Amino acid sequence: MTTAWWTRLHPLTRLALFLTVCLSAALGQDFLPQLLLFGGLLLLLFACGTASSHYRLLLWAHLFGLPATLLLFIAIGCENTRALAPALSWGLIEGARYALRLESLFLANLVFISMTSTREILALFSHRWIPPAMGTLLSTAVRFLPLSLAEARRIYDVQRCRGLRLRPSSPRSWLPIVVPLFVSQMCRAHDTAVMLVVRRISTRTAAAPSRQLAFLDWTILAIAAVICLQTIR
Amino acid sequence: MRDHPVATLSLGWKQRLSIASMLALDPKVLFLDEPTSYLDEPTADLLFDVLSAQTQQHGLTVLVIEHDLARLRPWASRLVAMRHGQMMFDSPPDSYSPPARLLAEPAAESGVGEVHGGERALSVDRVTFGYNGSQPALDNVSFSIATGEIVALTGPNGSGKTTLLNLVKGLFEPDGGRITGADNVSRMDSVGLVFQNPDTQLFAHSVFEECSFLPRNQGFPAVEISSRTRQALNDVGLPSLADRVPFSLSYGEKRRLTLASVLSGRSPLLCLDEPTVGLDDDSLVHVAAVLRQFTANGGAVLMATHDTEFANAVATRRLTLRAGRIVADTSAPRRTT
Repeated sequence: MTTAWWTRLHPLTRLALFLTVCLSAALGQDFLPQLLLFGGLLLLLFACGTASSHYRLLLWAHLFGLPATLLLFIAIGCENTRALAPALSWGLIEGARYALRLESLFLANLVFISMTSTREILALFSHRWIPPAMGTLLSTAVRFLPLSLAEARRIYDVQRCRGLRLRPSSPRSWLPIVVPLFVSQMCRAHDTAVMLVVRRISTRTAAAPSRQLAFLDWTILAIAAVICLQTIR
Repeated sequence: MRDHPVATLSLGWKQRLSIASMLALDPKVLFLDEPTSYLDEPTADLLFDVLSAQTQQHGLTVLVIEHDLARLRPWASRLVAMRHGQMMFDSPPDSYSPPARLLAEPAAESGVGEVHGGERALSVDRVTFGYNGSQPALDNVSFSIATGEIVALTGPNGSGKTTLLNLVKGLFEPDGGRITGADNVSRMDSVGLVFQNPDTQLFAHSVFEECSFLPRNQGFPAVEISSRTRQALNDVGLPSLADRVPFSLSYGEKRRLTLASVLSGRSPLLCLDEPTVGLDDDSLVHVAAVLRQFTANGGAVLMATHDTEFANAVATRRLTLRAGRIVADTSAPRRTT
C-alpha cells in the first residue's frame, strides 16, 4: 500500500506549511498566485479524501456569498469614485481577490486538519516555551472550523427535516442554520471551558512528537521560510 | 475503541467516554447530572456497579441527579427528593414511594416483520446501510409499521437506532433494500422526525413562530398555519407560552416545543429519537398523552428509546436492534388509560 507524501512529514512541517499558506493567502497581492494557491489547496483537499459532505456545505455557503461580497465591494467603489464603470471594475477585482483569500484560508485550515490528527496537534503545542493555556487555545483554534462544519451539517439536517430550503439569494433562509450554530458554539465554548477546568487540562501531558525532522522536512521548512520572508517583504 | 475518532461515536458512547474520563481523575467526590440519559440498561447498570465498587473500596462519594428513581434505587444509600427548589424527602430510598411515572404492561412475542393494526404507514425491506464503506451500521433490516401503532426501537448504544430513524426520514438513502412511506409520498413529507437536542433547531423569536416553521415551509395559507400551530401547542401543553422566546424555555419545555414543531406538519408517521431524555414527570405524561392521541387519530409512531418503563407503558410493539440487525419484535396489547 502506498503512503501519501504528507503523512511522512513531521507535524511541525505541516504546521509550518499551513502557516506559510495562510500568510501568503492573507498578504499576497497578485491575483494569479492567489488563484493557483486556491486551486492547489482544493486539489489537496480532495486528495486527502476528506472533502465529505459537511465540508462541502460551508464551501457552498462561501460560494453563495460571493455575489454578496462583490456587490459590497462595488458599493464601496461607488462610494469612493462616484462613477459606476470604475466602481464596477474595482469592485469586481477587489471583491474576487477578497473572496479568494478567504476561501484559501478556509481550505488551508481544512487541509491541515485532514492531514494532522488531534493528538499530533496537541503534541505540537506541548513545548516548554508555550504556556499550557496558550497551547490549549491554539489547538482548539485550529480545530474550530472543522468542528463548526460538522455542527452546521447536523443543524442543516435537522432544519431540512422541517422543510427548510436554502436560497442563496435570501440571507433570511440561512437564519435557521446560523442562529442555532451560533448558540451551539457558544454552549460548546462554555462547556469546553468548564471541562478544561474540571479535567485540570494541561497540554504538557500530551505526548511530544517522537519522530525527528527528516531531510524532506528541513527542505520544506527552508522553502516555507523563504516564502514567508518574501510575502512579508 | 481506543483510537476511534470521538466525533464519530454515538451519544451513548460519548457519555460513557466522558464518565470514564472523570473516573480516570480518581476523584474523592463525584457529581453526575443524569448520567444514564443516553445509556442502554446494561451499561447504566454497569456504571452503577462500578460506582458502587468505588464507594466501597476507595471511599468515593457519589451524588447523582436522576429522574428515574427505579433505576437508582438498588444502588443509592440515601435519597433526596426535590420539588420547586425545596427538599421534600431525605432518607434511605427504601422508605420512599415515588408516584408511578407511567403504568406498564408486559409484552408478548410475535413474528419479525409482521404488520400490526391498520393500514401500512411504513415498510422497511431488507435495508442495509454503512458510513463511508465501513462495517454496516444496519444489516438486512426489515419491518413494517401500521397506523395506530407506537413502536419502540430499543437496543444497546451504537446499535443503529438513530441511523435507522434518519434513513426512515430520508436524510440518508440505504445502500441496499427499500423504504416506503405512506401512499408512496416522499419520506421528507410523510415522516416527521424529532431530534434529541432541541438547541440544534431553535432559532425563531417566539414559540409560535418556531412551531409554525414546518407548515409555513409546506406552503399552507396563513389561516391553516395558525390553526395547525395552535393545535400543536395545545397538544403538548404549551399554549400559554406562544409569545415566549424559545431560548428562555426550560429544557423540558424546549423538547415539547420541538415535538410540537413537528406535530404541526401533521405527517402520518412520527419518529422520535430518545423522547424522554431530560424530561420531568409532568413533561413525560404530556409526551405519552400526545403519542397516544396521535395514534388514536390514525397516525403511527416509531421512537428510539432506552427508557424501558416509558416503552412498556406507551408502546404497542417493541423492535430490538443489536449490531445493526433486528433481533426481536415483541408486541403488547394496547393500553387504554
